[in-house]
Amino acid sequence: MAERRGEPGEIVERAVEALRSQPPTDGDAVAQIVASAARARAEDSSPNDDDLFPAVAARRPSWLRVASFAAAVAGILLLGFGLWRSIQRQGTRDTVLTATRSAVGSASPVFRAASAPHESADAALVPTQFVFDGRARHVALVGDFNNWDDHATPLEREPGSSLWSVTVPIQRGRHIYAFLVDSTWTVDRRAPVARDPDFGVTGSVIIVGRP
Amino acid sequence: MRSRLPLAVVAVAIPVALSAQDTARLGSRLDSATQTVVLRTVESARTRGLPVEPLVDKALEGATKRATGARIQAAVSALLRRLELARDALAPNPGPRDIAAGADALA
Repeated sequence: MAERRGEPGEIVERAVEALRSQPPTDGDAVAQIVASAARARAEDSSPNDDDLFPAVAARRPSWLRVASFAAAVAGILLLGFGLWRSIQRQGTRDTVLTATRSAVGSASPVFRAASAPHESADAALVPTQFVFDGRARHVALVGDFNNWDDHATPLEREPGSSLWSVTVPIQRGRHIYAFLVDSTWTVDRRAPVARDPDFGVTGSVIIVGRP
Repeated sequence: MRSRLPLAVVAVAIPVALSAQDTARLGSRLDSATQTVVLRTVESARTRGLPVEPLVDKALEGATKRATGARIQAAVSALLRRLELARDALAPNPGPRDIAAGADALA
């Protein structure tokens, strides 16, 4: 096997000699053989092992086509769901809330940015702090996030001050609320007013999450 | 026939369970006549494929604001109409929160 490049070896020389000893090829015979082989291939539509591009589509069983289609649809749905979840999570991370501080004698909500452990992708609850500043014996928060229940969310007063506060996990979006100060309906003077055509009692508006 | 029995039980049980949830949420904060009307309105919304949470919320809001039973019933019925308008306006596939926001905008 120690052949140098460009020099035929002994095996090649023997093969060339054997080919030279064969009778000359009849060109017409070769053409006839090739033509008949082509006709036979055209008539025979069954798959062959040596086909480079076997025509299997027409012969594929119907259940296989259905299964392929179902797999493709499932893949598209999974991809779409993944994209949707990714967008949801990104939106939750991007939650930006502003902080305001109440002045003496007024009530104002303090919005704080949500922390990841308190949020789930679906509910997207954002811890939101409400502050009331004023003299009172009892202050409660009512709103569409706590069933308007005046017993559900009492505010706690900071020792030695007139500040009352509570933090509530709230879904992102627009919410209406008010304080019940010693059982008296009290709107937040620093928050936008929510008109109430149904009952004629205005409340306050809070937007939780991104605008 | 026997295989359809569980489906029928589930079909009956789910609305009953949901209705019980609404009743529990309303609790004793409405008088019985108002609660009956509100629950009927809520059930009507559910059968039309509308969100029912805003209706229960509206009734509770009215109770906290010490509105009369008649006013609460009127407010809940008006909200049902707004929800339906919002759903139609936001067709073809609005979510419950979209419909509720649309109804608020129509108030």
